[in-house]
Amino acid sequence: MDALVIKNLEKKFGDIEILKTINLEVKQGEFVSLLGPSGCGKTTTLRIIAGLLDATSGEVYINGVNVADVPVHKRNNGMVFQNYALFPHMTVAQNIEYGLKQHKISRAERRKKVREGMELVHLEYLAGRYPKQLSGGQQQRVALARALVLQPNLLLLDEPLSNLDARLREEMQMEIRNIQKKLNVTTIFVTHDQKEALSMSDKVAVMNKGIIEQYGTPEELYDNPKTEFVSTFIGYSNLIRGVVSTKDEHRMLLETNYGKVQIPLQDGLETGSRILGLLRPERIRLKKTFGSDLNCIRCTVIERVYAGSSIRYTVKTITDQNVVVTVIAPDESNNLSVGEEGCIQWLAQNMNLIEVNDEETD
Amino acid sequence: MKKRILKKDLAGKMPLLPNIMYMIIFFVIPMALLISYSFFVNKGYGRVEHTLTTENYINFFTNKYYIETFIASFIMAVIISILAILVSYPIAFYIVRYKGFKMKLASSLVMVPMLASSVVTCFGWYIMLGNTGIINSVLIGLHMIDEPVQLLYTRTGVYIVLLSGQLPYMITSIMNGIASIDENVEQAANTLGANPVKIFLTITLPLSIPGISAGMLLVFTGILSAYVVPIVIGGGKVNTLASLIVNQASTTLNWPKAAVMALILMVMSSVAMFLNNKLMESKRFGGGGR
Repeated sequence: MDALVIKNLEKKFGDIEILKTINLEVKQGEFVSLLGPSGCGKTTTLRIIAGLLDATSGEVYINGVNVADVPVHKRNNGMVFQNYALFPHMTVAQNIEYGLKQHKISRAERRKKVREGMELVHLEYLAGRYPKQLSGGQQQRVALARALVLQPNLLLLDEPLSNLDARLREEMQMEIRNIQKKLNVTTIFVTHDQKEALSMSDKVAVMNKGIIEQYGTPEELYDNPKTEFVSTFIGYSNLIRGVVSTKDEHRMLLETNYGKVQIPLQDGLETGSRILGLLRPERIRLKKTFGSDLNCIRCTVIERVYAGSSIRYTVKTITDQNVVVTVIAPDESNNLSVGEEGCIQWLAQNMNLIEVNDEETD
Repeated sequence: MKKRILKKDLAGKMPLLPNIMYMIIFFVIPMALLISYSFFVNKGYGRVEHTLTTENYINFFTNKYYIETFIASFIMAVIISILAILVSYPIAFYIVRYKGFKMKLASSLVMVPMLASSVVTCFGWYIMLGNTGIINSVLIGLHMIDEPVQLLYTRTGVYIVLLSGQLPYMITSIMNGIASIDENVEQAANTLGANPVKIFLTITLPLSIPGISAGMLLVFTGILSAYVVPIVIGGGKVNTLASLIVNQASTTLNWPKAAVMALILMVMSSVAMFLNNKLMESKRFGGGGR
């Protein structure tokens, strides 16, 4: 049974549609990120799961139970808020104990669990401090321990790392992930930081304008983005737009804004189909020499950023399109200077082709 | 070197001079006079003999009537403060938490009584509390009472009017207190298993204490020094510390005794203020720090 199933979730605030149709399935013990720009509905989704917001329509099942009529305080989800939301009038130990008290757990048991909770996040020595006396990272840990001591059905994290500085954030990423694995607690993590989502999650749901654009493992999302939004939100992608001009048994020819490109036959594409090709900068080869190859597109280097192990070029094709190319481990043959001419090439399988409908293109 | 720094320091503080002079002339000197008068011998008609004595203090603390009035004033201030909290809290809570036009209107209406002079509101109440006033008329009309209840010139009447006058201060203080509570904190308690009643009792109410305390300070000190209401509504039958002071200072013309009473009043207010500050400084309410 899945730990969390969301079916056709919709949410409107007045006339504004925040969530259109959200569907999501999360297995027991999985770490799933809801990733998207601000206003995409990721926090709204999380709050509906927690029960802090009501859905306009659709269902949420936690461990197979439809929670529509289960009030927040009976859902047993551990939630960590962006600003931690610690109880300012209680000490660290009292904060962690709060949920246990509400669940009417005996004093001896409470004491044991509070100690375990503090050990889990390495805060034993701060038991008597008040939240105001703690650093951001420490508050974060208390919030995490407070949510985890209840052995929640779901751990819900609402951008918990966005208020921390870069180094601490990386440290906490590792720590949250380790604790999550250790306790095997199903976790929903809301973030707008794609690196964070990719490095921490088992699966990522990329959200945009109230829908989930793509749901998959970090590798799937990066290597095989299904939409233009996903390809540009996660990492950088060069976008190739064009139409299928001719087609025979083995190949088809694309007329694109980069020039003519020949690719092997692909299912679903007919002559006249409009396509969008997504191409990662590191999947493109840049060469000094250019022959009469059809798939070799002539270009001029207009920008070159040297980064040691790689060089990031911006080149302009003869069709006046800017393309970003990352050359990893540069050598003689592909180390070009600004103004120099060259050609770019890529393997057909490294270009993700999406057929686009007219109304989707702008 | 040291001298130059000192000079520079003084020069930097020059702009403060007018303020410091103002404080010295209008606060420090009168206070010093008040304190010294409380230790001088009374010669009647506002005259004093400049010999030091504790007679005035002994006199005050051994006079049963003064002590009774003093205790009555104190109890009145405490009771009205508590009543004000009970009445104001729900009002403040609804104004803060239920936004919208009605609540904006309500929060401005709360302020209106502050704008009117206490003499004006007093006479308004005077008319309402009378035997043929609106309160008695309504109660008789509803057959809840047969005879008019005596409200004017009674302690009850004074309490009612004093309470109404203090509500705006209490409501605004509590509103500030409640508005500063992060609603995420309440939601966190909710996700941790607390039902709405528990959230209110364990989170919202304790976190409102700074606002309640500030309001209580305002009301407590306001009631202690209340003069107009006890005089007009109490009609001379309800004595307070403030009315005793006025009597001593302008009728009996015993200035040393008036000074003693004024100082006692001030000490009480200062203690209240001190306790409030202590509370605000505690780590629970965001003061202190490491």
